[in-house]
Amino acid sequence: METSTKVAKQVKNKSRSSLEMRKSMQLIVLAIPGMIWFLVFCYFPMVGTVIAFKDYKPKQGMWGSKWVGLENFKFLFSSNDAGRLVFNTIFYNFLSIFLVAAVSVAIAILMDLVEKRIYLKTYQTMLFLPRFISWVVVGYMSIILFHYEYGLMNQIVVALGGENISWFLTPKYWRFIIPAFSIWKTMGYTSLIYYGTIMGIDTQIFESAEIDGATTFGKIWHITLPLLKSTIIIMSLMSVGSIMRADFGLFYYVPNNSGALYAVTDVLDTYIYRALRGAGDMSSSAAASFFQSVVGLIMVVSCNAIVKKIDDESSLF
Amino acid sequence: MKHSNIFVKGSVHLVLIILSLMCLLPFIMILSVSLTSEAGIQANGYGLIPSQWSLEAYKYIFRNPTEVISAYTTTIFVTVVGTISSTVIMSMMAYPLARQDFKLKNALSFFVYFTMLFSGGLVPSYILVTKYLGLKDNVLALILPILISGWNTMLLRMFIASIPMSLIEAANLEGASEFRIFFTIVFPLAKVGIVTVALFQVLAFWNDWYQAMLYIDHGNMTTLQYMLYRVMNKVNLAKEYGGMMTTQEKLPNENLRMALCVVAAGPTLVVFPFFQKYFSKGITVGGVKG
Amino acid sequence: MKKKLALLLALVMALGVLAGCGGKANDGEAHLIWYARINKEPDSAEVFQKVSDMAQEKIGISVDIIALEDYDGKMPVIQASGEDYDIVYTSSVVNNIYKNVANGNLLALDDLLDETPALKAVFSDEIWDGARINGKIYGVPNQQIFARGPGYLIPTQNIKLMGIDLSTNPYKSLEDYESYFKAIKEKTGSYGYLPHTWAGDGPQAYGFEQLIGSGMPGVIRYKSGNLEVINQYESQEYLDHLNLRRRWVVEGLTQPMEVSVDDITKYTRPENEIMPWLHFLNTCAPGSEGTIKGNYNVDMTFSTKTEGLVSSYSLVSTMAAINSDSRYPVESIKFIELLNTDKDIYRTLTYGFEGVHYTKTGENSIEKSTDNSYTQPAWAIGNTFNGFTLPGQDADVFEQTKAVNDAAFRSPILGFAVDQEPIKLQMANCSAVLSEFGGMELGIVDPEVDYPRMIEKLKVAGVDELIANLNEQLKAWLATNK
Repeated sequence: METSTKVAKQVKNKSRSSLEMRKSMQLIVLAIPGMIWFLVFCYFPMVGTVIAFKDYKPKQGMWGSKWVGLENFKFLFSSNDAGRLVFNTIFYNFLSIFLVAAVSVAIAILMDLVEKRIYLKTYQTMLFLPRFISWVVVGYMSIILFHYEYGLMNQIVVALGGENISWFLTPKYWRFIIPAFSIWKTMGYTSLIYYGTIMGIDTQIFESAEIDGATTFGKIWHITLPLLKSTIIIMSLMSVGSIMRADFGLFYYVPNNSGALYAVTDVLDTYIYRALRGAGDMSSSAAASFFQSVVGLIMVVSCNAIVKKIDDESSLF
Repeated sequence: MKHSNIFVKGSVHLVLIILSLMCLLPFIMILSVSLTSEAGIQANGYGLIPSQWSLEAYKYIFRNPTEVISAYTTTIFVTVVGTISSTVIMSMMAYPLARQDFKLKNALSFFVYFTMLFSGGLVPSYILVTKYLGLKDNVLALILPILISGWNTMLLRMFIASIPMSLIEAANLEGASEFRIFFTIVFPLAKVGIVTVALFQVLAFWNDWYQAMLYIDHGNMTTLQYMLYRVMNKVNLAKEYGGMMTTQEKLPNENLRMALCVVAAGPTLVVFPFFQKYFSKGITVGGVKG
Repeated sequence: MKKKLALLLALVMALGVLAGCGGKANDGEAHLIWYARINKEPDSAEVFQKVSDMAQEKIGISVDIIALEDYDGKMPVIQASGEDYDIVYTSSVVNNIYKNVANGNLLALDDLLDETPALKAVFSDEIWDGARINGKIYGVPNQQIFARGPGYLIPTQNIKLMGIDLSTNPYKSLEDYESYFKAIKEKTGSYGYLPHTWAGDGPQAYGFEQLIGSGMPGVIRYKSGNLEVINQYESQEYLDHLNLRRRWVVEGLTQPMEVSVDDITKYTRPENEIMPWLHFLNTCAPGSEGTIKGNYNVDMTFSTKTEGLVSSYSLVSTMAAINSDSRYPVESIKFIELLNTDKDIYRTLTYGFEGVHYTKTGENSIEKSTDNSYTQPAWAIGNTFNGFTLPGQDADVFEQTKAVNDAAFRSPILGFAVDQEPIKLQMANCSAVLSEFGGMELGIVDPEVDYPRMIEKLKVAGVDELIANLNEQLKAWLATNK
């Protein structure tokens, strides 16, 4: 008797595991087209990373070029640019992580206070508009705003009794202009995410708070914000992974690639672009991207560990 | 959240109106400059309303409509085909990644995530597309290299993960295959998320000029953004080389450049209402729960 | 349905992979690939095909002309990927020839040129030798103005409106234009526009010949007889220039902002008004007024011309070269010869079809069609002396250009090319420093503050090592070549 139940159990286990196998196989099949794409278009070209360690001469090819070890990295970091490139990249990234979170949460809370759907929809649509256009077009907007003689900013400055400002030649303003454009472009989308989270909050909590006589501000301060905390933390941590990557278009098109502004607008991504252009310096640019990747990997793996602790389900892997 | 204070109500609307205007005005600026005559710009600068109306710039662009028409057809084709195929493929991949009980979940996630960190760079991709895939001058070269985005795949994963597991388990017990579960349960339930990602893909395909720059050598195939980029690039080159070549080549006027912006970017704004109805509920990034 | 779609897509992707396996058929006939630094125009496909057919007919070689507008964006990728091509544009700026030679991208043409005597005869030995890099010829110069000499032009309408008498040659150098800008301010109330900075070929106006790239430190005073390389940014001339520009801005004589030459259309004025503009050209070529007129519809008159200088740098300024991996080197040089010696083929490629893109106004002169635009940079294609003259240009403009070239001052170091490899780092650092000070060179930022800062930063960037290395290279070259 005992053996027969054992056998039955084994059979059952077997069929269950074979079912699981089949299910797993089906899941894998679903993932296959995507996996093929990643293999072909991402993993296959990765062999190119080797250029970062070589004195790349096209005629000698990727494998034939001379191996120079870390020489390209030495070149990158012995250049005067390196310090400001890394500083600018990190500075703007941290700034926008912080500001985008603050502004988007504020907008989401404000939107939650809007009662009429038609207004809400209108605001959301408007705020989403900047997400639609390419940075090239934003670059044109920047000219319209900051042109010395015709620009709207100078028209305002003059109307207020000030003197025309050469925006594209004065670095100090761009520490504000760059983050402003960054927020402008992303707030519509991120505020929608926070808004969605607020919508998910149980309305009973607010109702019972109201019965206790809580004010609007009281409810925001004591209920909404604490409940948004983990979303804010996780959203921010996710951006930390790309701390060494800058949004190329923002730093290239918005300041119109003005050399006088490089001190405050040059980031690793624009440097890589310029190294490739004209100079065709494949090795330096490969070294710079490799550096970005390694820092990114370290940041992501450590952030992932933190996220896992806060909320296992939203960890990346 | 409900509230009754009229002062709060007023200031909420005031702040949101100001922010909305900040987002809207730059678009009006571009439209206005594109409709202002060169002389008007000279005399009064840029403005929110054209100081001297002129349709010259648009007349110039459409003077030879073949290029614009070709750009529109190519761009629309690339955007439609690219968006549909990429959204389907990414969702199919995101579903297994979102299944907590899928053994390979973490390995596969890392497989995707790793590509967001490391890239082989431009040259190997170029060799792949031109030499191994032979896609030069092929419209597929405008789609395939940017078909899938690791970031959007992860985003989809989070949307799908927010679907209650119990629904999937129930279907499992009824003996449904994973394919069926994906297409009949997951796909409809993750609609908001999928539409969001689809919108991002629309923008990615519509706003891309780089693939056209790299992979189109012959013929008249072009995309709207590439048209725009070419003009911007000519102006930049002229600046870079300090007027060395400028006396040799005429550059387009300012209002013409702005009109090109309108022609190239305008249609995406029209698409938005189509997506908007899915958004008004708000996007909840699955897993990222309050 | 959706599943089918997905399957279909996977299939398409797989097909794409397979398609790549088919190789090119080699039928033994030469079919050249030329990445040309020219424009893609609405009718360019037809024109390029016609040019190929003409070449096929004349020398039995067909050519695939690919118009690359963003040359610096794409050519490095094409070269780095080892793609197949035969003829390439190279110059001292775009697709830098020195870098190309260092990377081994170009074929030395010395032997090949023996097969094309007509091409060799286009230039004197002096020109061929001046264009040598490390003793070899790597590119065929496009025949044009080689005598580089900066100059200024003033809008023709201003001459009458402001009562300027050019016959007395009142403007010998930039300083002399103070009266010009003062008059503009007096009569229009506005400042004038002076859209150029020191970089470009500006230093030549002060007697400097630049050894590497425009604006990079490292010049010689080519007329002084002393061939020592110096840092021009530490020269008195440079500081004087900065102070002059600054004073003009402070006094409201010139614009306090960045202006590019191409902003000219914004500042054009009707015939009866003064146009507040001073035009700078880094090369005073005969017929420049005509080109400006053609592009911007502004009449300009030369008010200052400096004597031209023929230097190695000006000789390699636009060239046709051959890929070192080309399968058809002999055919390539023959095609380049055709481009430089055959008027029909050069004119078709440069101006398009007669009756469609232009109409003839004389045997060698044309007027461009306003309906069908076909515009190409003549200087990037071949021998410009085989071209047409445009409205506003003298019928003998090419003879004039030739005369200017022949009469121009010859650089004492003609044929010397800097090896940039050992100074790569210093060059990158210096160029980063210099880009920051554009505002000072326009007079917008006070040199009192910024000039010492710039010199200091250049020192940190290694400018002294750069200059020392250049001196070493030049001495070594002089020892073997003089």
